[in-house]
Amino acid sequence: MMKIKIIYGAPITSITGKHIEEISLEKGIKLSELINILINKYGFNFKNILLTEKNEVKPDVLIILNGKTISKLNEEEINNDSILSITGIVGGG
Amino acid sequence: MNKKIFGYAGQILRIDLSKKKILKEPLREDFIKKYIGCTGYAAAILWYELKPKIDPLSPENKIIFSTGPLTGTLCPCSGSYEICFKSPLTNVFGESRSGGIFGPKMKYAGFDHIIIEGKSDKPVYIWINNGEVEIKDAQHLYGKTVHETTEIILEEIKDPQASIACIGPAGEKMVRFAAVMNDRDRAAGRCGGGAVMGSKNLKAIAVNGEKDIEIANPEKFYEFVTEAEKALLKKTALRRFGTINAITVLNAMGALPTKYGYTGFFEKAEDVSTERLSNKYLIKRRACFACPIGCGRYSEVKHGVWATPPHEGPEFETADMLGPWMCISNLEAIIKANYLCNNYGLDTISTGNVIAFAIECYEKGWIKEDLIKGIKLEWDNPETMIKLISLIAKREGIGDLLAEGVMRAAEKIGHGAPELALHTKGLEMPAHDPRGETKIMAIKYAVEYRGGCHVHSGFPGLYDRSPESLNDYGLKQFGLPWPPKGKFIEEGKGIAYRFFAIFGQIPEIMGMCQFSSMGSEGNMITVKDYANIYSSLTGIEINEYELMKIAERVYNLKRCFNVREGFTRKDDKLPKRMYEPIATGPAKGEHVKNLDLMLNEFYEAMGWDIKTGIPTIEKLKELELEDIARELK
Repeated sequence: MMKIKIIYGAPITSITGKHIEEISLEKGIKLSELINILINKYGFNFKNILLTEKNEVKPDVLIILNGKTISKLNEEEINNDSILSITGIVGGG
Repeated sequence: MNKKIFGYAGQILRIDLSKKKILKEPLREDFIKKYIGCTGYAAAILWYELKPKIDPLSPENKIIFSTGPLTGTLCPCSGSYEICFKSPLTNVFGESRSGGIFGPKMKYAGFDHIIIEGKSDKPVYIWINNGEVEIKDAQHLYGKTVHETTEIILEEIKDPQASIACIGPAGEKMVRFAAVMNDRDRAAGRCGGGAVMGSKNLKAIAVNGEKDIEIANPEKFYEFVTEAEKALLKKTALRRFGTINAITVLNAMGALPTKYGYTGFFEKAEDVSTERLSNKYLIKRRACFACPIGCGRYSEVKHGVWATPPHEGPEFETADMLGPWMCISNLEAIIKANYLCNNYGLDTISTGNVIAFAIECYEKGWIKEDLIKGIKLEWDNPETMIKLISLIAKREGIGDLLAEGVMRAAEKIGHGAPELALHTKGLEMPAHDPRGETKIMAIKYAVEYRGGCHVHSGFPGLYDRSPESLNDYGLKQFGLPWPPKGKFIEEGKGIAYRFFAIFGQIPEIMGMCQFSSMGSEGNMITVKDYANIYSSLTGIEINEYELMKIAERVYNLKRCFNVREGFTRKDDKLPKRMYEPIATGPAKGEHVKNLDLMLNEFYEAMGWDIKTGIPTIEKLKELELEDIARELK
């Protein structure tokens, strides 16, 4: 098993109810699988805010994995102590 | 200007406080044509009427309260007014916007601009009621907070519907980043306009009136503003969560300015989140005049040591600068600090910046114990923050040093303080870190005419925030590079920023809030929308290309103001910390690498001399600013 940290930004926080969480995962898991785990955990609203009907990341959502911005869900392997950020992009001023 | 005028009030009020002289002047048709209004018109007045190199706190300075043609109309987000002056903080062009209802009421009182000149021999306030102007004694108001001043004046003038713009104790003491506050909690915060008012012994301006704003083509105007409102109603995130939602958004990006920019990630960001505010302290949303977005928050802390009455805020900038910027996660203390800054009349961005700066200077051993007199200058100490806000406002103890702003305080502290201080041109850096957010903010901070600013001229931060961004701000038709390169790629950012810099002037000259002008077609007011709205309102026909040209003219005029004050490429720089890597979080390691590249791109794109950053004579002639070119030569 391995541990990763997930950081959520608004408006995703309104669905997850938290800003930061640590979760335990099986080793070797891929990013797309992790997203599915989170969709199963947080439900339709989470999926709806994140993905289009074609299961692509919406333009007003930002996903960052270990400092790298992710434009498409892919088979990138998640490592122990990875940091994943999932956030809307509207904010500031 | 004798012919019938649409959209504008048609008059300027000029008050010489030295001579107690009140003059009403017609709007100049040539200025309307060249600069449209609000900060564009005011910049032209300041160019032609201010001598270069004056002391901004001397009677020679002027402060201009300005509205635009859209202010006070049915156009959504049209509640803005701006103040323009030579800044006592930066010595360059100072401008500061505020919402609320003061701008519309100023127009209904009969004036597009109010020019304040000279200095009164004793404290006064001005009451403008349906075109009638009185200068009234304000000696009994000196020392009063913003809220107290507002209540007393409303009682005295016997008009509870009037709008009051005033200074608090900070402005009276000429704290260099004192704000002008209106409608109690709305702030024209940046650049020290409150200090300029204080230097003139002007405590407040009260306005009210019933003058109509006439519309040239009402049917077309109504059609265009209705479409604009539909677009802005799509800004659901701002409405629902307020600007403070950026705390968790930017933290998730690793770009939440924390511990004086040491890092962009704050472990306790959730404690300062919009959800925490909504669950425990929010009373309701608040909106400015004619605003369908309603990003304002109205909050209170009911009990305990941080208790406050209901008041507006905190906004994102305030929440970060009085929070994670100093490693503070106590939201109640942040709300209290916001309330105090509003009431003392202090810019929350500059206040937070300078307090955190003092903490780091003390940590490094650069501030002596006898200066702080027992105050615990340390991170995550809300009591210290509250204490220092009071000391700054009253210019007492170390507060007197910090009231000078971070640039001057750093010079006096010495050691490595000048290198550490986070400002550009003396304006304290706000809560957007170019290193973690987007490098377009790096070129913006370096070149902006009012100094280190995230939102004048416009806020380009949404452009490349996500890889599949749709946020072209409607600027592709003008040549904005599209799609954007990655937010951390510096090449091309100077070219891209030119478009945002120019477009950002349009809300500034129209009298509009910048939140109406971010995003993409369908959820914002585009250049073409502005051209249509303006043409139907005023009967002065312009298309989107002509409007961009006017905006470019105004941006260059403001740049020329600064050039005349001696500011050139050497002053378009970033603080040293921007070249240091972010220490932790999702943007760990990011830093600015090559500002010169971005500067060269921007200057070339703008038609400015690359070596000096000065607009070329050819560019100024193209923009019909030949007389300015001759003076700068």
